[in-house]
Amino acid sequence: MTESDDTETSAAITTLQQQQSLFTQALVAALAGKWTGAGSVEAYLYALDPNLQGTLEVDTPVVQSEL
Amino acid sequence: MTVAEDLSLLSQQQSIMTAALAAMAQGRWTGEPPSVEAHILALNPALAPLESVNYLLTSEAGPAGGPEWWDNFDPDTVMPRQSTSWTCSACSLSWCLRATQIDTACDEWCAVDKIGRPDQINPTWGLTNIDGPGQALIVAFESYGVEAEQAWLSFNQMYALATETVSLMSGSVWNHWVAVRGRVGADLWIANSGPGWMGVNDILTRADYERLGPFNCVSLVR
Repeated sequence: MTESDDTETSAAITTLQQQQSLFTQALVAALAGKWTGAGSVEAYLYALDPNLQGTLEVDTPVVQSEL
Repeated sequence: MTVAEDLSLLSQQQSIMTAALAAMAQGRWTGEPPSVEAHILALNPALAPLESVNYLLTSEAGPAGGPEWWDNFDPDTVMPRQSTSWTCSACSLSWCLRATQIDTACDEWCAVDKIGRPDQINPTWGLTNIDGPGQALIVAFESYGVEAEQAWLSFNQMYALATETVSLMSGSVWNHWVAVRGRVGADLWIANSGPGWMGVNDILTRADYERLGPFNCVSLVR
């Protein structure tokens, strides 16, 4: 393995770790019923993939407390 | 498998998980792709058949209703130009009060009084933030019995919040307050009393947000 390969591998692992962290936070938000707004599943999705902005037609589960 | 192939596979799986999360947010839980069910089976076909329940979706539950200011909110409300260089926060506050019909008569100078001249807002500093970022705006909303909260938000967070409530925000580099009307495509749609300042009119893009931030945001609590 070359030094360049090591650098690329390290960068790829860092990206995956950051994505994993965002995914975990999104699941926590889902568990808390925070589907939209700041700190929500929707916000973490945009952090995972900014290209989703302007493309999602959000239709989230209704939280029992909202019924 | 090589390390590179392992990483490539993990990256593909991460994309599928992101797509599954997007399907959740859009209420596509079961059935043909791009459903949550289909994405889970793409990650691991051995999980078939999956059991699932039916969630009640926002589109099926009907309008949640309230609070009154949110029901009244009109994002097309006109934003007049600010009459001085230091009243952008007052213009943004008055726009928010009028757009939500919390106070339909409040103009730029009414908002200056509400914020509190000269301690909280004055010609030297604009909004002074003497009690903390945006606190004077929160107090102004409280005087109407409306709760507001302050946060430093990323573009992703503000974009997600933009259809949930009404917000005012100020970029540290921008040195300018605006109100948020909503979204246009992948951008923020703003009510800007100083159109053209640092190249921004009614649309604030992600690039603008990064260039002009970080952003101090004051949002009404629903």
